[in-house]
Amino acid sequence: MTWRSLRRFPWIPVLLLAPVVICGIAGPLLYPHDPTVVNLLAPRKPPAWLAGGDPAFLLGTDHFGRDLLSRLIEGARVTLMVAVLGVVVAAVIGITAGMVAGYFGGWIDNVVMRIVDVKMSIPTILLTILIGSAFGGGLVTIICSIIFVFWADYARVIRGETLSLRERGYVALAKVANCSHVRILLRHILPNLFATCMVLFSLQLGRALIVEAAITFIGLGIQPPASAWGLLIAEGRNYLATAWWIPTFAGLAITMTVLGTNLLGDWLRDALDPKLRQL
Amino acid sequence: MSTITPGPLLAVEKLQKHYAQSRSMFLRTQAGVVKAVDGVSFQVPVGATLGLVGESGCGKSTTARLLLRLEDPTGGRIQFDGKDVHGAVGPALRDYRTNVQAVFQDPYSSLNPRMRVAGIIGEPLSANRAISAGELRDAVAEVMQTVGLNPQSAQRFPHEFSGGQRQRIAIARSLILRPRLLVLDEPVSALDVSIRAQILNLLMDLQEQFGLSYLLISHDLDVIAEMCNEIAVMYLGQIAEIGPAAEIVDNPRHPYTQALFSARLPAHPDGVSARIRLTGDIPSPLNPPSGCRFRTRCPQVMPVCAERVPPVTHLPNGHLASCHLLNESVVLGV
Repeated sequence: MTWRSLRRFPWIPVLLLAPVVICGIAGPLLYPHDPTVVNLLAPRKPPAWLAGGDPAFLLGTDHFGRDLLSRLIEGARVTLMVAVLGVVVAAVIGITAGMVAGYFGGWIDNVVMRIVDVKMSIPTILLTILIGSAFGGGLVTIICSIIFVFWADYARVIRGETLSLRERGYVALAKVANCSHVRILLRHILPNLFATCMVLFSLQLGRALIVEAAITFIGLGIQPPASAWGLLIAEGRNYLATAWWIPTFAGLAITMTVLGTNLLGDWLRDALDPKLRQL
Repeated sequence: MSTITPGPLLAVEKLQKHYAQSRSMFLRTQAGVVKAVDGVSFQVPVGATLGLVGESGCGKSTTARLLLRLEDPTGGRIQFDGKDVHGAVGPALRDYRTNVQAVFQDPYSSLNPRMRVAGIIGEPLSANRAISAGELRDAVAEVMQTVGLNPQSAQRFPHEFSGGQRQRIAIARSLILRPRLLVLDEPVSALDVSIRAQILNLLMDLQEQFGLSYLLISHDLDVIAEMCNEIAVMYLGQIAEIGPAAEIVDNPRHPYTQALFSARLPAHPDGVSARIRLTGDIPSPLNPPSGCRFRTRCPQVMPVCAERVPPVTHLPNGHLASCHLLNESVVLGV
């Protein structure tokens, strides 16, 4: 690694996201305690560095005496899986719909964009409650909600971008060279949407974390005794005045992850542009 | 083979492209019709170059898009090698497109920035024929050499090349299928003057080498005069004057052609040219002037010009022009 490539490496986003990803993958190996074991003798213990803290519970304990650090690590796993899965599926649906609508235009475009408009007119929370009452709370509800909420954003942005790309000279020349529509979409339109998709993906990932936390917060998401960051905040909000650490660390984790994904998105956009790659 | 084919390679007859402008999305009321191309006829002989010249907005590029079948004409016919192609679909259209390729004006937007040069140049071949990777690589290397590019740069991206080199890449791509007709839409307008001559020379060499026919679209009169065997002058969707290049350049008969060629820079800086100045803008094709379309800007306008559409006058040497001035009975008021 040369000095230049070291300097160009996205240190900040990687440092922000690395702990989350590591916790997500290797979770069970890292718990200092079992995140679901209740210890009623040590409820609401403050973090280790504060008066009354116990070095065995680094970030303190919650109202049932469960180790907060372990619950945070367990939460990273659930949170990441839900957000990544939801946003990836939403992206696949939205990119396909947007590309097809923008490229072919006409009635296809009208149908797709009217569906998007209908989706946009339904409040997210209402939709979530609807899905929640249909499927019951839990992982499926959250993932479905995220897909429902985010595919339309993709479709809209990608359609606009496709509208401008399809007028490029190379698309006209591809038609003159007898390229099929599928080939034009996959080789000429999609690769040029890549930067937009990546930036959108990272922004959406951050927003999905927040939506996931919100759904869990209102009680339709991850159910206790499982752990998720939104759940930690929901459980901790009653203790904000007396045991601030319960919701605060989960909130910080969300902030850190969202910031990390946004910064990573910015870096990716530049790194994926062949024009900037040489600079 | 192709040299004994009688008749022109490309024949265009009364080609029309009208765009309906609807006023509202829901009520399909027609607000008007933009006559972008309105009854254009010309022919491109085998191995020859036809120049299409005119101001911006006169329908040159729309004509090119119609010929490439990127848009469907609303009227008229296009014949290639004796076969109708204006309504061709399926295999007939595919076959036509392997014979007709194009080079566009902007060498920046006509090359996909995410594809490597080898992919760009080889695409017409890989999209049309079942061909092995090795054969494709050889074909790309060969055609790169033909247009004066180093085949070793095949794995680079377009942005690593200069404007002139990019245009060579575009030309290489258009040649790889060994087409018979190239539609050149302002191929050198975006290039530096110093590069222009190189690209024009390359195009002339290729024409000789492969017996290509060109339809060259340009607003640059010097390029047109240099390259073309025949010239068609377009104004507001119609052809004002068409004929052999020498006739059009040295003996223009339509007032618009005269004005256009008087705007050329003289060959010597001290040379004086009698410049005919046209006033006003090109009228809207949504509502073209009655009678002769050029009458609103014509320095020699007569009352008859507003009343009647000028007929096509056949002049000596295959020279055609549409102007009332060429019809003596009208001029003398008989």
